[in-house]
Formats: sequence, C-alpha cells, structure tokens
Amino acid sequence: MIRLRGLRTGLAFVVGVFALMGLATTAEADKADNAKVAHPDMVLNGDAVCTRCHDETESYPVFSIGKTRHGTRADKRTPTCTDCHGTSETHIKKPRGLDERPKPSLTYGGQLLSVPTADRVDRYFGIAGKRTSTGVAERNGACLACHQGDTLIHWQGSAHEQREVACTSCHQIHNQHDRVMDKRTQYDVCVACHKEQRTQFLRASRHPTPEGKVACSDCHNSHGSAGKKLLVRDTVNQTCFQCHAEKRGPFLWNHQPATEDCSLCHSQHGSPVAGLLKMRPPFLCQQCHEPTGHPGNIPSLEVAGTRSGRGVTLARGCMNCHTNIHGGNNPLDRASSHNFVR
Amino acid sequence: MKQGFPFVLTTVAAMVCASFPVAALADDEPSGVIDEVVVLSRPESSIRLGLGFFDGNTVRFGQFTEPADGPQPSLSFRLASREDASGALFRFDARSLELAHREARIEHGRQGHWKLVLDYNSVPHYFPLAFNTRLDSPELATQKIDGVATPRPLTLASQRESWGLAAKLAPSDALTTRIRVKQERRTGSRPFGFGRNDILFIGEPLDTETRDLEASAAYSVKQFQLLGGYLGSWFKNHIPGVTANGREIDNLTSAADPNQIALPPGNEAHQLFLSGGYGFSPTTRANFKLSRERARQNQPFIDLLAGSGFAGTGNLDGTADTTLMSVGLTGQASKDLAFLANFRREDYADRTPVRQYVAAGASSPHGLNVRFPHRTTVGKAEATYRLAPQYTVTAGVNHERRQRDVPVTIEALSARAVSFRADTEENGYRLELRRTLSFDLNGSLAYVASKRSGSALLPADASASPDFVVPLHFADRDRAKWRFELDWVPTEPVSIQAVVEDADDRYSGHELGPRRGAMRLYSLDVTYSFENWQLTGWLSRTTNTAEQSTCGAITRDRFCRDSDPARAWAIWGATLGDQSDGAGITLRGTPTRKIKVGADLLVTRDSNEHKIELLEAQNASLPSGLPPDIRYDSTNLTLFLEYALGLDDSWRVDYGYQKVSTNDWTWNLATGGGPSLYADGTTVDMHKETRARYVGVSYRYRWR
Repeated sequence: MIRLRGLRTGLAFVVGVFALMGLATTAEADKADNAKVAHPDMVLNGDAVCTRCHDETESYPVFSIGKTRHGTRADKRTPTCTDCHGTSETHIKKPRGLDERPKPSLTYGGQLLSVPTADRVDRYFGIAGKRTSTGVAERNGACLACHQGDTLIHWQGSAHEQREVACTSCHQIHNQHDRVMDKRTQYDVCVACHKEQRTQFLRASRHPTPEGKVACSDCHNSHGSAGKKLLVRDTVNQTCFQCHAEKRGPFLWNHQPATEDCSLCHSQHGSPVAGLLKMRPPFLCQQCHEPTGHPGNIPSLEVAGTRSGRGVTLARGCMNCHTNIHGGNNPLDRASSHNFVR
Repeated sequence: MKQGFPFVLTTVAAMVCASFPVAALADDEPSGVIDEVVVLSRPESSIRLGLGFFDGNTVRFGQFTEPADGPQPSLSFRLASREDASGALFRFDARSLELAHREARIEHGRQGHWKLVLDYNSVPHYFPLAFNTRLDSPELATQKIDGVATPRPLTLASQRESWGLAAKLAPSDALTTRIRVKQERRTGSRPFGFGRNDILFIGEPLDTETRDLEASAAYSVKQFQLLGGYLGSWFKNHIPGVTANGREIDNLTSAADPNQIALPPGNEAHQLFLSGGYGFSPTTRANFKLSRERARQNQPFIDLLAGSGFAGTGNLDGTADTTLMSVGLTGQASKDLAFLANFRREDYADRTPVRQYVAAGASSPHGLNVRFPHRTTVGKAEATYRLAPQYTVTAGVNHERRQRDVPVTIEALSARAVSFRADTEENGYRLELRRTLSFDLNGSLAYVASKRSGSALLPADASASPDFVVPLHFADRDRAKWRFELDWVPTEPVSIQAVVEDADDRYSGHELGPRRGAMRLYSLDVTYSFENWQLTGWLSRTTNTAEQSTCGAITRDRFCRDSDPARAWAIWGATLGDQSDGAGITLRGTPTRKIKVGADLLVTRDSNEHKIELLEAQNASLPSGLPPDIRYDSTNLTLFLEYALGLDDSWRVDYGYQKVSTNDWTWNLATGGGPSLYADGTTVDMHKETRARYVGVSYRYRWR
C-alpha cells in the first residue's frame, strides 16, 4: 500500500514536472508568437509571419523576391508570401504531437540548392517545379488569381496547361533575372522540354535564337493563343509576316502553298538546307510538281543545264531561276513572270 | 555595317550612368550601412566592361553577331532602381554596345499605373559564303554582272535595325491600355539568282522599312477578361526591282531589255481583334477570339518597256481579308473528369480584282492574275479522367477541314501546273496515359493517329501523261505517332529525363510523288549534383526520312511509260534522310566562395542522305554525279572562371572554341569536272572547315 502510494506520488511528481514543462513550452510558444507579432516586415507587406524564420540565412534566396516586380510594395496589387504559398497555418504553428513541421499549404517543387540560383542549370532537365505534392492546377491558380487577363486569356485549354506545365517550371519568381523573360536565356528554358527543337536549332540554317536575337516568344505565346502551336498571331503566315512582311502580298502571281502555310516548305526551327527549307531542291519542289516539263529531272552535280542537273541541284536549286517563289508581281507578258522567274 | 551608332549609344549610356550614382540608388537605407537585407532584396544594377580577342575563321561563329578578328571591346550594363514610396521603376539594359548585334532597352514607369519603354535592336546576318565574282554593286537596284575586270572576293550581309516605343497606362486595377510603335530598317544584300537560258549570280538588294502599330485595351476582373485592339503593319520596299546589265539573260533580245526582276512590293495590313474569357466556376471557363485583318497591296508595278505586253492597270489593287473565330471551353465535369472542347475557323479571302494583265496565249493560258482563297475549320474535344491520385488518362478527337476555292484561273485543265484539291478533311484521335505528382517518377505515353482525305482531285495539265503527283498538302495521308516521356529522380542528386518519339506518315491515292515520311526522336538528359557542383549531360538523336518518286521530264515526245522504249522516261525514287545527333555536357560549380567556374561542351553531327534509284528504268539510266550525302559537324566549347574581388565586383575570363566541318556540295560550283553553275564564272567558297577561338576578360561591378 505504502509502495503504491509512493508510486502514485512519484507518478504525480513526474506528471507535474511534465505539466510544468508543458506549460513552460506553451509559454515559450506564446512568447515566440508574441515575438512573431513584433517582427517587422522585411521585404513584402505582411511577410513577417514568414521572414521571422525564413531570413537572410536561407539557402533558397527568399528575400530576392524584393528585387522583382513582386517586391514593389507601393503597388497594392503585389502579393505577400501567403498569397502564393497559402495561409500555411500548420507550417507557421506546428500542431502539437507532430514530429515534423508540415509543409506550407502550397509548395512549388524542390530545386537543387548547392549551386547559386543564377548559375543553376537543373531546370534544363525538369526537376524544378515537379518535386511537390501540390497539384499543378492549384499552384498555377495562385498565379492566375492575378495574371489571368491580357495575353493569358487563353491559358486554359492551351497545350501547356493541358500537359500540366506549372508556371514555376519556366518562371523563377524569386529571381530578378527570370531566365525565361530574357531573350538570351529563354531558349535554354524552352528546349529543356522541346528536345526536337533543341537539335533543330543546332543545324546549319536557323534563326538566331541560341544567340538571343530571335526569342521563342517572338513567335509563340507559351501562355496560350488562338493560333496553332501557341503562335502569337492567328495563323502561321501572319506570325511569319511579323518579320517577313515582304511575303505578305497578295501578289499578281501567287504561289498556292505560300498563301496557305509557310511551314509547308519551311522548317522554322532549323534545317540542314539554306533558307530553312524542309528539303533540298529539287526534291522539295518535286513533292508537288508534276514531271511535265523539267520538274521531274534527276538532280546531278555533273550534268550541265539550267533546267536539269547542276542548274536545279546546286546553289539555290530551282530558285536559281524561280527567284520570286513566294509570289511575283511582275506584269511582264512572259511565262517567266507567271512562273516566279521575274 | 555602320560603326558610328554605337558611340551614340555609349554616350547615352554614360550620361545615364552618371545620372544614377550608386549612392542615390541606396538613398532609402541608413547612411553608411549596407544592410544584408538590402543586398538581398533591392533591385540590382551592374556594368560589365570587357575585351575579347578573336582568332581564326569566324564566319560561322559570328554569322549573327559579326565575324571578328583581333581585339574587340564590349560594354553591357543594367541599371535598375525603384523608388519604394511611389513604386516608380527605372531600368536601362544595354548589351554589346560596341558591336553589330547591339541592343538597348529603357523602361520607366510606376508599377500598376503607367510605363514607357524605348528599345533598340540590331540583328546582323553575315552569310557564311565567300563569293569570288565580277558582280558589282549587289546591294543596288542596278547590278553589273561583269562590273569588274577580274573576279574579286565578296561577302554578302544584311542588317535589321529597329526602334520601338511602347506606353502602358492603367487607369484602374481592371483596365490597362497599351500602345506600341516599331520601325525596322533592313539593308544589305543576300544571295539571289538570275536565270533562264543561263544562270547568273546576283545579289538581292535589301532596303526595306517595316512599321508596326499596336494599340490595345485589356479589361480584367476576377471572372471575366477582355482584350481588344488594333494591329497595323506597313511594309515599304525602297527597291522595287533589280536589273542586271552586262549579259543577255532572257529571251528578249533588245539591247534595251531591262532583264528586270520585280522585288517584293510594299503592302500593309490592318487587324482588329477581340478576345476574352469567362470563368463560370473556379474550374469551368470559356474563351474566344475574333479578328479580322485586311491586307492591301497596291504598289505601282515596276516600269516596263513599251511592247512588253502589259495590259493591266498601274497596280494590282490587291486586297486579302483574313477572319478568325475561335471559341473554347474547359471544365471539370466531376472531381475526376476534366474536359476540353474548342472550335476554330479561319477564312482567307483574297478579294483582289481578277483582271486581264496580259493577252491569253503562250505565256499564260488566261492572262489573268491568280488568287487562292481558302478556309480552315478545326474542332477538338478531349476528356481527362483521373484513374488514381497519380494517374490520368486522356482521350480526344480532332477534325480539320480545309476548303479552297477553285480559282477561275485554274478552272481550265490547261491552266493547272499541279493537281488541285478543293476540299481536304483530316480526322484524328489521341490517347494518353500520364503519371504526375510523384516525387521520383513522372511520365506519359501518348498515341496520336489521323487520316486525311478529300474531294476529287482536279488533275494537272500533264500534257501527255496521266496525273502522277498530288501535292504534299493535298494528298491522302495516314499519320500515326507515339510519344513516351519519363522524368525520374532515382536518388536525390540525380535526375533523368528521357523522350522517345516515333511518327509515321503514309501517302496514298496517286502513283508518284510523296510516299512516306517518318520521324524518330531519342533523347536522354541526366543531371547530377554534388557539394557545390552540378553536372548535366544530354544525348539526342533525331531522324527524318522522306520517300518520294517522280519521273523524268515529260514532253510531247517523251512519257513516263510508253510501249516504245525510245519514248519512255525513267521513273525514279528518292529516299531522303536527315539525322541530327547531339551531345552536351554542362558543368557549374563554386569551388570556393570567391570562385565560380563553368564549362559547356556541345558536339553535333547532321547527316543528310540522298538515295536515288530507278524504280522503272525504261530505257534510261541514272545520270552521273548523283548528289552525295552531306555531313555537318560542329564542336563548341565554352569555359568561364569568375573571381569575386568583393561582394559586388568580380573579374571573369571566358574562353570559346568552335569547329565546324562539312562536305556540303551545295555551292560547289566549279568542281567535279563539270561546268560552273554560274555562266558569269562566279565561284563560291563554303568554308568547308572553320575553327574560331576567343578569349575574353571582363570586369563587372554591381550595386543596388
């Protein structure tokens, strides 16, 4: 009995000690919460709830969002941390009984952290924005809450949206230098997924895209469009005419495929044949033209002739003579004007 | 290329730099204190001054910058400042100010209220071909084929130089208005041709101006967004035609024969557009776009001599209207079922008056101008079902119909050079299984198939033979495509991405012409991260194959097939292959806090195969000198080392090496024992092997 009483006393003591420790822990938590309230905003309006822990020592550069447009505090539309990462109540205040602090409500995927962000190439290979349990639609929803209008009207239903591409797969929200917004580095981001285009841009004939002088976004709106293939304009031809307005016409003598679709003859991302042609002439022209007359001639580097042999094989091939192949405007009464020679 | 302009930009840059002293940019901060938070969160400005040394043959290395030899300075900077109280932003970015590919952009505004942007861009293009020719003045409207006594080296180049000004005004949170103007001047010359009885070398003179105007207004609230506006484009060619003097070209034998080629005429286009979206619920949304564009081309025809047969008006009076209507709907039918549907119609109506320009006769069976109006209707429906938390399956169907008016000018058989199809229809479906939201393994497997057919073919005027070839875009076609993608993270520092694609097109319904097309893509990317280093590598192979056939030139006396062997030509086929192999390795690392290093190695090989064979020899044989295969190899290596002197300043050393070798025969104009292509004796060096190197040293200073 005495032993039991002693046991009870001991248990009561232990419980009491733990209770006091619990109270102390609670008091410390309350103190921390009070301190949280007192913590000033560091970079964004209302960021104190996050920056009291995620400070300048973070390996991921959370503060650098201040360098971006999202860091303009005078613009009342700019978000704070919780606008994009969710209220994250359990992350901010870990529930009792959990060993590990829950993640924020919205996470955007892990990135390899060892190399400084500006030099990282991991996004080439698609890790960024994928190692998360937050659904893509939910992640993108945070961006679309503000960025749905203007050139993003057609995001829903676009190829990228349908294939669950996250905004953060391409955009670096916390970086002043968002690679995809810079003509010189945008190409690297796009070919991370578009492997066929990566090899096409390494060919002899191409646009100066790897040099950053023509950007993927000059022709494609990656956020969706009413055109085919996310083209910035409504049709393939209208997109090409942005820079090649001389092909627009209409002409006195129109070449039918040129009025319909430039990509019938051109491989716009790169080609081994000059002029971004899909195929070397005369083979390209023989895909449509009857062998009546000279279009059926066999190419040769040795046989002389203007309408056969070297004449249709070397230099500009059939276009050595048919120079105005996109359409001619010469009213001369000669077959050569109707056939795009003049 | 003009050299004076960079100094103007540099002067402007220096003035702006001077007007934004470093201290001023940090005026919000306590005096003398460079707070770590400021370093991490204030917009950063930087300037980089450098000197590079170029060596070797840089014609390919610098085709879009400028082939350089010897020392070349460079100046790039970025100025960025923000006034926290008002949200006013200023940015001035300038790159390569001393070089032909210079560019600059100045932006000033108050975020959420207004913004002004002024930009300048220069894009040179040097053709990596060295001509040796007697041609004089390839950049002018009148060129002299025998202009100089002895052949001399000539390099052709063009340059686009553009200025843009844009303004944005947001009167309210919901409304944004924009206006943008751009002017581009293109000058120089590029390879052209002059041929009929002989082929002669001339340049295409370039002196054009393009002006764009865009004005738009966007209205956006939570559920509803609208964007409407105007797009205008004006193209002007200062050289309407090019004349080559000095050698008889055409059948015209008059001494005054202008031998003139009409160059692209000036034109303009005006588009009105309206697009919008409406969210019925957080998951269901509709969007649309309507647009109408009118293109006009009424540039005066080039001057022709009396007796040229011209019977038309002074210009084409050309008008073409393009109308687009597009609607789409996306939504979530249930928790696990999402759907998508869209419809699109595009109408290209060429309303140019059809007039008698020349007399119907030998040169043209009708003497009328030719136009090709067409309409395209596309519909698509897709459903995606979530089978399990990480798995979805998508099934979809699509339909495309293309309707072409049969032009009055080709209604008669005698006026059709190729066969024509008024109507083509393509129906297809798509199936895809996708795994997402896994920490270690994501990917998809998709199958796409379609079938194209159409209305009865209007045969070409094949004179003395059946209608053999149907143009590629009119022909019946069966298409099938597989695509497999894999994203795998086997362990934390390793990531693997693989893509395999296989597409096959089969053409039918005609005897000759396109038979088959195929594409294969294999790609593997691996990245590995360790300590302060990251190593990535990729391998890729793309192959494209096309099979087609035709027969020798049919004339009144020779046919593709004939019981008399003497009257029969060969039917021949070509298998054309293009294989692109590439491999890349990238290394980035920070071995110490002060040192950053990087290396990129890129190796590619492009192989083109031209296999020609007789399918029905008749009495013919293949000619000598069939086009050999072509190989284009390139190796690119870049290295850099950056050493930080302090928090904000650093030195950087760059090294670059490029080797390109090819056996391309395209411009082999006087080899193989045959006659030269150009009757004027022009020869061309394709630079079969080039090696270019550069070393650059630069200093960067940052502030905020």
